[in-house]
Amino acid sequence: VAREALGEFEHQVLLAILQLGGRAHSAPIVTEIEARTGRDASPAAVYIALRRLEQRGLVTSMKAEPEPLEGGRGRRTFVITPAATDKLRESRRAFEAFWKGLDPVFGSGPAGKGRKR
Amino acid sequence: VVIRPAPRLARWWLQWQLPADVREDVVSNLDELHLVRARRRGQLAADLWFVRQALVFPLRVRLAGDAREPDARHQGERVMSSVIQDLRFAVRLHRAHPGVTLAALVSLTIGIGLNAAIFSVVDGVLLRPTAVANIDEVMMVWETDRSTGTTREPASVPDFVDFRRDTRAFAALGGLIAGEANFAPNGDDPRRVARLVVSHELLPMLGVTPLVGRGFTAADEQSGASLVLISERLRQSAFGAGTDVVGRSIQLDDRTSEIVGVVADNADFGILQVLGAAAYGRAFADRGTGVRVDVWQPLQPTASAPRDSHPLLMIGRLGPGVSSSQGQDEMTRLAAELETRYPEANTARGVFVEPLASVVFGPSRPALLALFGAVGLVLLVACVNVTNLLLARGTARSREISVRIALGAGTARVVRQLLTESIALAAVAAALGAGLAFGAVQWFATQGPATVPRLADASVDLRVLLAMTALAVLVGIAFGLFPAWHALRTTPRAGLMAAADRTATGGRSGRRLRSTLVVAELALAVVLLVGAGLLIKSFWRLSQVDPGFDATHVVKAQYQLPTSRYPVNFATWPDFPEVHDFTRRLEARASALPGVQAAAIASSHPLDPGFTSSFSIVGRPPDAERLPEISVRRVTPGYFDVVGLTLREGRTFDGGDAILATPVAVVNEAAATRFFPDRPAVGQAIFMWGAERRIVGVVANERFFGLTAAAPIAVYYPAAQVPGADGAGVLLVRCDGREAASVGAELRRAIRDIDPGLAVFGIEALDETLSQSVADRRFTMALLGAFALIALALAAVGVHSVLSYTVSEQTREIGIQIALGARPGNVRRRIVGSALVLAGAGVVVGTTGALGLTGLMRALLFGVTPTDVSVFAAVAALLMMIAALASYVPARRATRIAPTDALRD
Repeated sequence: VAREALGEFEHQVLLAILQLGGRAHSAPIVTEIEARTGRDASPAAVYIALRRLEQRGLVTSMKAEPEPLEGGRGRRTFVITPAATDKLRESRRAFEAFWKGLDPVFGSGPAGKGRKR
Repeated sequence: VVIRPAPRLARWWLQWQLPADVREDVVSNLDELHLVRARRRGQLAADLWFVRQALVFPLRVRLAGDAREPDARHQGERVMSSVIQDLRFAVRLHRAHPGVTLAALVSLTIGIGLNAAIFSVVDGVLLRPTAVANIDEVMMVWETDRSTGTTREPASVPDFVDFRRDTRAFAALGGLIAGEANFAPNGDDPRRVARLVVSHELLPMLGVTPLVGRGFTAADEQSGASLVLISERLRQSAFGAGTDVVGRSIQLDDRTSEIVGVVADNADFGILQVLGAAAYGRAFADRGTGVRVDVWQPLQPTASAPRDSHPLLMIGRLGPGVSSSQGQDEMTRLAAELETRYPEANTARGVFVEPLASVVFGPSRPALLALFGAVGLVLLVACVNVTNLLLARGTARSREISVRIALGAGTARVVRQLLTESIALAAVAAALGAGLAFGAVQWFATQGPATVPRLADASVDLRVLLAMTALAVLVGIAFGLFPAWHALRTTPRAGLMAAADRTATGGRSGRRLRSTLVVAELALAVVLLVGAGLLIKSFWRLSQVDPGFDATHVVKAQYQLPTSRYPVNFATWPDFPEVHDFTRRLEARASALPGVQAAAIASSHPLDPGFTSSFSIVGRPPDAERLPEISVRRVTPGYFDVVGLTLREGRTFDGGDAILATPVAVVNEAAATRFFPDRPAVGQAIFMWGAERRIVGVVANERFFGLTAAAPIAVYYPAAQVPGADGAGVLLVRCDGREAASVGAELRRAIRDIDPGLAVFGIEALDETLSQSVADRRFTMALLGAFALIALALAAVGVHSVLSYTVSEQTREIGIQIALGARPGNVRRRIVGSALVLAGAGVVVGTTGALGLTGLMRALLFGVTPTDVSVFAAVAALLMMIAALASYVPARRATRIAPTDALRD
């Protein structure tokens, strides 16, 4: 597995899955990213990112039994792997190391867009 | 708010595009997202979003999926994004030059749309399989007459019965007799229906299976029961769609017939063309206006059917492995046996076997193929024109390309961009062209000549649309590559210099190239114009033909007397009191109508081939010379006046030529000069139908077989002395020039007043009938003419644009010349002169091409050779004139150049 750092979008995808409880279909992931970034996300981009993450062992997926809903047919569920949580923790640590001591400049909290205390 | 699911087409596309293993997952996730979006942003926004995803998703997945290597994946994304970039650029570019883009779009739309339309028609009429299984095994079996040389005659009923019994070569031999019947559904006004009396083999042979009920069987031919199959059309109009009609009965000519089944509306496939090919016995004289067969009845041959009356057309299917020439040989042998057995009726009778398909499609094929070729040329002109226009987009483009190349863009990248532009243009044109094609095919189906088989069934189908899309892409590549190749040939340096300097040094090769293209356009236009010119001249020649009668202000109305009320009793012939009484009363009544100058009744109108009969000349030994058959016309005395037929010698008929008076006859000039070349025909006699008939007059030749056929020999008899057994009649009146429709209504009333049970049909001004008889030629001429004009207009645009380019290129040069005292007239002349040089080259090339091609349209010409000098000369002159006109605007612009402006730039 490549020791590549996570890209920004991959980061978002992984965190979105965690927000959704560590396992999700791709559509809720798209919605989650859109809700958190406030911008449209491309389902194709999410789909491709998930596939890449799977190749790198950061998510696994399984094809669910058809849901007993109209149109709810064999969808793929993506699940975060321990490797991914390690990786996220690692990158968070790295970022926080850099952020340390910058609170007086930006105010506390991660990169709030001019958010007031 | 109810949210509708995602657009079905986009969804379908998505499913089709995605690999099977991810299809379900992706589609159901996108569905969910669509739903979310629809709630949040509205249905329309969500639908549009979905469409975009459907287009983008598969592409991105494919590009990402194909690539194992991350680098290759990026490469893929780069290609994709650069294609989108190119597309955006193309849209911007087209928007920036709306004039050029619009002209290119119009050219291509016309080119592609017309091709799709004509191809759909060619496909629908000629190429699509027919309902007739293995149609190449199905043969038309005509009788021939060696003494007249006619090869396409109907057979007699006894001949047919004998052929059918004795043939081994044909697996099945069927017969049909066409005619009219009066039909009055539920006490409504009677109307005419076209009727076919068929042997039981015929419908299965032609691939007709009843929609409901049954067809005819061999037993039906013996039983004598009056049975009928009706068309779906008749069921709908008489009973209402879907009504169960099997077992019910209808009245045809006072006779009750039981409905045994319903057949599809197109069950009469090919019948009209077969009737049109027959030498006589062409029922449904108004075939040209789109008569369709509505009732079929079983042929019930009787022993008494005469062998010398020929009403029946034979169609046969060859047995397995039997060739048409084997079929012909066997039939010839059988005909020879009949000839020895029945010398009275069958002397000189043979058989001619030819494929049904060539009878049905043969007459339409040349015109359709000519039109197909013509639209192909129009498309070529359009492509050349677009290439030219794109090249003319001017220095801006080559500067841009040079800059790109100078900045390191690869050749492939530049070519791809140019191709994206041109294919985008072609794709839009194809979409617009599809609209044009739908409209045009619709128009063809309703307005096209009724003589073309299954024209009404022609439609733009998926195959045509696919072919058209492929065509558009090819066209896009064709005219996209050319400018690309051209741009790449100039070095960036030259291009940049040319761009910096508006007097364009690099323009010379460009001008030469564009001149070549214009010459090509002009040459193609010449080919089309020559084709159209030949057809126009043919038509003009046709209009010069004297039909022998004067159709102006003559109106006709046809009827059919049923034998139930108008008995035909040959024991008392020619005294059929009911028929004669009807004729007399109708003629008197019609003559008395206001505005009617003269009225007459005849067995057939002047453009109806009617029928022919054998005869002999009194005073000559009967065997000394086998006489050909002669066209027989039964007319009341007023006929000659009504149709303006000129009397050459003797007299026409009068009231004295009554039923039992001395039998008399009038012959036409063709007959008189043929049989009595050395003495006056008047005073001679001919023998026909059991009596000597004294010739009392000679009249001019009428062209019953249409304007293109030679006038046949003909004899006219007083209707009173030789009433027909078929009940067919036509009332003809010469009136004071009122609307044919209002006169027609009065004629209908006059006929109904005498017999309310008669259907009146074929009400038409004789002028219209005459014009209808050449409708298919006019149609071809009009279309080819339109195509030629389109090509000419496109070529004129080409000339105009290349000269405008030249002028703008030489602005400084011309300005200096004018500053140095050149006369504007000279400058103008030089520019018009260069247009004429182009046109001259176009004429030379085009004429050469046309000489090679017009031979192919020989079948469409009348009275004109394919190399008619006057047509070629007229086209050359027209082209020169148009080229001169097209160069006028640039020429004027050149002389308006102010020297100071030219030098300042």
